[in-house]
Amino acid sequence: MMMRSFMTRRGAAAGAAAARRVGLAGTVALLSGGLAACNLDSMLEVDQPFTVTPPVAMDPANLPTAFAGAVREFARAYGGVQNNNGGIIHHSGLLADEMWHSGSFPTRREIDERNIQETNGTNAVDYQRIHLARNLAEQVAALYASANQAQAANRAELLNLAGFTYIFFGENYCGGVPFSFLPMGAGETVYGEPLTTPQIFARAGERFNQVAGFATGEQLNVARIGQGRTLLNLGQFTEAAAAVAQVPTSFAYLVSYSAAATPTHNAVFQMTNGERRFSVWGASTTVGEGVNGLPYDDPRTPRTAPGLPFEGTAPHYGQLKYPNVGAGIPLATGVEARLIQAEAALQANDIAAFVNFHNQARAHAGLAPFVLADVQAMTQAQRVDVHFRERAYHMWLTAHRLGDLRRLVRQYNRPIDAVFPIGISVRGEPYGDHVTLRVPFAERNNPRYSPEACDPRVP
Amino acid sequence: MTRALRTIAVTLTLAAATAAAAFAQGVGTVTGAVTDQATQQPLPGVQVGIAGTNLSAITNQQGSFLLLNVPAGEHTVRVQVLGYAVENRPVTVRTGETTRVDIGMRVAAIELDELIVSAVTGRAERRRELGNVVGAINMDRDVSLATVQSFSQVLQARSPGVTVLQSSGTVGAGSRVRIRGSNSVSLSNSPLLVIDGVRVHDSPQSFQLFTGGQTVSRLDDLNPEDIESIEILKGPAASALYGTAAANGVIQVTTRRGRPGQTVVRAYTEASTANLGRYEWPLNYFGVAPAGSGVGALRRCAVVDRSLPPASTAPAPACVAPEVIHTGTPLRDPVQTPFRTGSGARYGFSLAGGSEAATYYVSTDIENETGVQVGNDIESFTLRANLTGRVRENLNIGVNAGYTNRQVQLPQNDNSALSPFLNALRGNPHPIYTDTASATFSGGYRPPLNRAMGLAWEQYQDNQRFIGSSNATWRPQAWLTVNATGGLDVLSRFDNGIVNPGILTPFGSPFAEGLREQWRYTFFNYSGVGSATAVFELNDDIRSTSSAGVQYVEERSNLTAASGSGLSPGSRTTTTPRTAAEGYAENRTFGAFGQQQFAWQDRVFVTGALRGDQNSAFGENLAFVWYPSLSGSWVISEEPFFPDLPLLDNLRFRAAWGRSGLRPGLNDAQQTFAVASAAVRNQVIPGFIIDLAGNPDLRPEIATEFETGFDLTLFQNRLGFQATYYNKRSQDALVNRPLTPSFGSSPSRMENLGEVLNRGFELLVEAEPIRMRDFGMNLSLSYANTRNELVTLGEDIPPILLGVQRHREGYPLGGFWLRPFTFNDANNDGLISFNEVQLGDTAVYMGTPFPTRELTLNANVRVMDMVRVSAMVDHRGGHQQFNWTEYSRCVASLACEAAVDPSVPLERQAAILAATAAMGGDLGASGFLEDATFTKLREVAITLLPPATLTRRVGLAPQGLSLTLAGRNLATWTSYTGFDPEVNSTGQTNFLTDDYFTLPPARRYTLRVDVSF
Repeated sequence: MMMRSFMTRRGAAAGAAAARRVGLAGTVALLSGGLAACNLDSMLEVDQPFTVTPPVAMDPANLPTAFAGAVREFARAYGGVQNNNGGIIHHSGLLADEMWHSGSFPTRREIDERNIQETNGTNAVDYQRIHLARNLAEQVAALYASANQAQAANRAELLNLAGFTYIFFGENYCGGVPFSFLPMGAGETVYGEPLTTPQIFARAGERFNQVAGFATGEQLNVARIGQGRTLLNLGQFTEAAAAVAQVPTSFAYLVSYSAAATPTHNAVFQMTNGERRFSVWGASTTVGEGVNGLPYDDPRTPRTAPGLPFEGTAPHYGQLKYPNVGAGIPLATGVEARLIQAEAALQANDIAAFVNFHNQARAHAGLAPFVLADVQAMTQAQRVDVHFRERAYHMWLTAHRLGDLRRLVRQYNRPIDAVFPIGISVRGEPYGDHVTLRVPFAERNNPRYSPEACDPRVP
Repeated sequence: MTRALRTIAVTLTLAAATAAAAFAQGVGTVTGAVTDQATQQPLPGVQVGIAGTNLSAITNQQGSFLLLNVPAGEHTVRVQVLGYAVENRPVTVRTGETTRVDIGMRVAAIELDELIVSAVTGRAERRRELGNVVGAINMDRDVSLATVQSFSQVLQARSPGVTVLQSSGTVGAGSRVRIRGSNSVSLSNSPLLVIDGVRVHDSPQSFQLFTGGQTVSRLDDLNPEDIESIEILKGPAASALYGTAAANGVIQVTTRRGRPGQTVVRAYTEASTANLGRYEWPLNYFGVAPAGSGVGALRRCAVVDRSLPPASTAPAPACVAPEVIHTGTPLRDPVQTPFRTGSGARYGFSLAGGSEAATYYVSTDIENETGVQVGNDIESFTLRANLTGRVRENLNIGVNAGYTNRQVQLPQNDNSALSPFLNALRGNPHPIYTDTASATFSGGYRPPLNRAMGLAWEQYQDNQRFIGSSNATWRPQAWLTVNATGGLDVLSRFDNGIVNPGILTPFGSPFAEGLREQWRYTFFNYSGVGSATAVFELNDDIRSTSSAGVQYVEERSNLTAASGSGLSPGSRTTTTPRTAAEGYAENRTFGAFGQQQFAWQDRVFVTGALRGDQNSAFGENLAFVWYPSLSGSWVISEEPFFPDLPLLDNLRFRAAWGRSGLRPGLNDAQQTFAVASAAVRNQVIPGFIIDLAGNPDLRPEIATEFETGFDLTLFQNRLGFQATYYNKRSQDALVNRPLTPSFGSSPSRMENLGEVLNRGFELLVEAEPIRMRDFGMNLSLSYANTRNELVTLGEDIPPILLGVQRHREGYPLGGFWLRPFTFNDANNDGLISFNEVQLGDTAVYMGTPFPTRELTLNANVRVMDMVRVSAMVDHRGGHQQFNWTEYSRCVASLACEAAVDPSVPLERQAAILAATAAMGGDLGASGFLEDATFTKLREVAITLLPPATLTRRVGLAPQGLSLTLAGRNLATWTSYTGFDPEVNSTGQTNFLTDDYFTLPPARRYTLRVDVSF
């Protein structure tokens, strides 16, 4: 029935067939014409409301946001990333005697046990992150300058932070670190050549000198301490002491962290106390890590009661210097200024000044002063021990210790095996012979870099 | 771009003009019935058509069909359905008259006239026309629904070259799907999914929250009950017309349709139980050091001397001879174990029917399943309505709508520090932790963790998903068909997790005080395709089929996320906000295509096609990307010169060549910055950070494939062979090239650098050794081998390291690279020490994580239409698995037997020492890499059907009542020493493969009742 109905209609409509055929052709032609006329570029244009393009990031009106990004990257390079990765504080502390690895990552154990593969992923992330902080700080500082804000306090802070990234490389990494440049927006890519450790410190000094040329107040003091630290690393003790002389002992510049947002957490707290993947040294109150380590049994190195580690069987100790995820971490302090002056005095054999500077620092920490006669009775080697122990305790968990161990070898002629952890690690493995973090494998993508430039056994 | 559009316009205009020139003629009707020749049962759903035209119809439940408006004259009625040999019957149609043709169908091993519908052109092509092989799964014929719980399991081991590896025994977790190997170094290697002609969201890893490894695959949103058939285009030779998304192959799903005839009501219910009883959980060991050794009583002590030469300056470790060994595991403790007997229930029904003018299929399904581990459940509810209508004599429309509400709870497992499985297998059996009176009691788990802590972090995903499509097929002339399909896929995904307060106190803030986090995603996929196909008989021998069309695909996703801490017990309200984030991503593709086929005497076919794509993710310097294809098919057995071989039914040779692509990531071409929280002077403010380095020259990956083979059927279509060789080369492969880290930019960026080669051979043997009225047997044997090789990574690109796996030129992608070792008990003390192990200096290639050979046997037996038995035996081989579970237990925890018991074989001691000495990333030692070859009895199903006389008496359809008892994962034969060699602790990641405390598959039994009337 239905079939007949269709047939009937078809027959009835035969007269209109031609019109319909024209209609068909017209419809398809119209569709085709419309298609050809449409603008494909606009059809494929997509919304990207959460993507920031270089013109936006480089807009002078957005400099405060660019500044904040650079500060953030520095904080992560320094103190680590929430509960994921440590920063330079963690890994220089591991390689030195401040911490041992109580987690499960073999790459962190390699660092702890002084046997770091070139392909070590933890080391690579750390290295990348410090470069990221350096690059962003320098490029945003340049944006301030190009926006006629060369004297801005924010620019001074960025240059100071950049200077400290060079210090991190100089103190903690092998010689041979290159510094390359990939511009924000358009511009020429520049591959850096490997720099020796003194050349790296010289770069740091350039940044602090830039700041000293225009900054005042807080950032000037930060630059002074950075310069002093740089010169100390270069063995220019008198100049270092002069650089920091005007910094008050009470001065402290802290890198900010906040409990308000996870990405801004203090990961020194999180990774040691929260995750228990790092443990501060505390296995013994008389013996430090790997025979040579300090016992860290001082009021300036407070730690928790022993507990269970994330992995392993040795007791875990959390640190109590940073009480929560929002605690700031000192980067440059007046105490460090006094310690720099103390070391210059020690080098000059001015024992009274040496004791005086230390006592200023100890007083700030609420500790009893050294007695001059006691120090005078010590051998010079004992004074060096006292000095570096004081530095280790005052500046615990601030990425100073590895640089100091290297200086003990470089500047005070101590044998490596008398300074660095040796023997069997707390995890039961033997220590290797590395004294620095190293340039990672990925840097081989830099045609101007040669892996021979980096020897992690050279202090 | 403009030129391409003009080309399309001209093509369509010419087609329309030709239509206008056509002339009317007299028509008649063809009707009849189609039955199974062996059983005499009517065959519903069979396609009946007039050869050489676009006229076709589908048989109803009684097997009847009706073809209207057949031009008067001599014709051939062609009847074809999956699994049967095509039947061609000559018929004479007279104007205004009805001609009847009844046809009996014979089962065929490999059917050359089976129809494959292209989701791009909308054209139904017979297999004989295609130069490429297409995998086909007919749900009613090939799958016992009682044996599968997910779409991934439907795909598993049913088509050669399609590799489905189950990632774990966690219910709701996905599987890794590969077709003909891995194409891409950096992009997804999962195939494209098309449902009822619409591209859908098909992410294989779709879960934001941390579980340790397992995630949800969007493939498994599909309800197997609603699927009618699946077609698998295995590579670019077949999928060139699908363009910039199809390099990994295409899976086309067709959902069920109603058929003309009375309404068929189908209902089913099933109950299942699952358990891990087949696994023997290993004991944990705790060696206590001898008194006076200096090693504390609570420190583990290993039997092996773990000091490395040269001798260190520190005292040698004293812990070399345990005085006491404690053993135990919470997994064997019925109170402490996190495992239970899993269970499942499923209920559903459907209505299907209609008339010649309209059909409908409506269904609903409810599923509840509890996994074998506490904290692992699925609840799902689906609805589907598929309608078709013949709204005019030459215009058919169809509307398909599917809704899914699915909630999955995934437990902490694999590489989660909270995983109860991990902490049980690395547990501490020292009495101080196992004595219930002890203050440090942890139940034998790794202290301070215990069972409650392992279950404290609950992770959920709640999906609401709608996939809708509509299709119109207009046949303005017998030779012209215009197809249009449009559809959308809307997925609302709500990932939410909660850490109950007061349980995870050892982890400190924020876990201790409770944590709540949620990620709300909405995904929109819009797609539309329009095409026209014109068929011309150029002369008596040559037929021309021309298609042209355009396609548009748009994908969008929205994200809102937040987290907070400080939960009061029993509440999900947070007191301290922690994070908030939002995101948006969008991608658009426009494609234009044309295809031309010439057929000579319906036995030689040559097809050429070209598709051009532009995509919003291409670099700004890139214009259209073109994907050509060319194929040929020759049914040589139908040639007059071919000898008349009595045993041979059909022989066809085929070859195909084609290209398709994979687009880069949405923003990979652009240099971008992101906005992130920054703490500045104790205030949290937004800051710009470097995100992507960008690459303005970025192009899609282009995969080029050549395949060739033959189809052969013998013994009256009772034995068939389908053999295929393929060679697939991905060029311009996107490599996430590490950037010089001293740039201080993003760590890497996408560049078109690499080249990947996949080669292989596939063989499908279909046999029907027994074909009797009361007894029948079908066997299907499939074999595939795959050779994958990274030809090049690009100039000066070092190998890409993935832990103990690497992408290295000249070797398979993601191959295992480890340091070999040898050992010798030089001092004959029965113990191996470090100086008795010789460790290789460098890592060498040790094998691939992906099977290189696959062999599957599917068997179906029918007894008197009252009993059906099916079974699947699945073999995978030629690949390796890294047993991180044992590595971790032995090397890191000293908890395994080999670390403590001096009586274990020396090679196990040596493996521990070698791994210890080689610690670190890519330089691991080979002692824990194992042959992952396995053979599994995956499925067995026994179905009982009461006689038709009985079912009719109670008002049911013939075979309208069935009872099925099915089992899954029933047995595994392997030399792998872990629990299961198939699992992967990283879920469906592209390459990373290992067994790291991954829950093995459970054995599952299902009882199912199906009723239809």
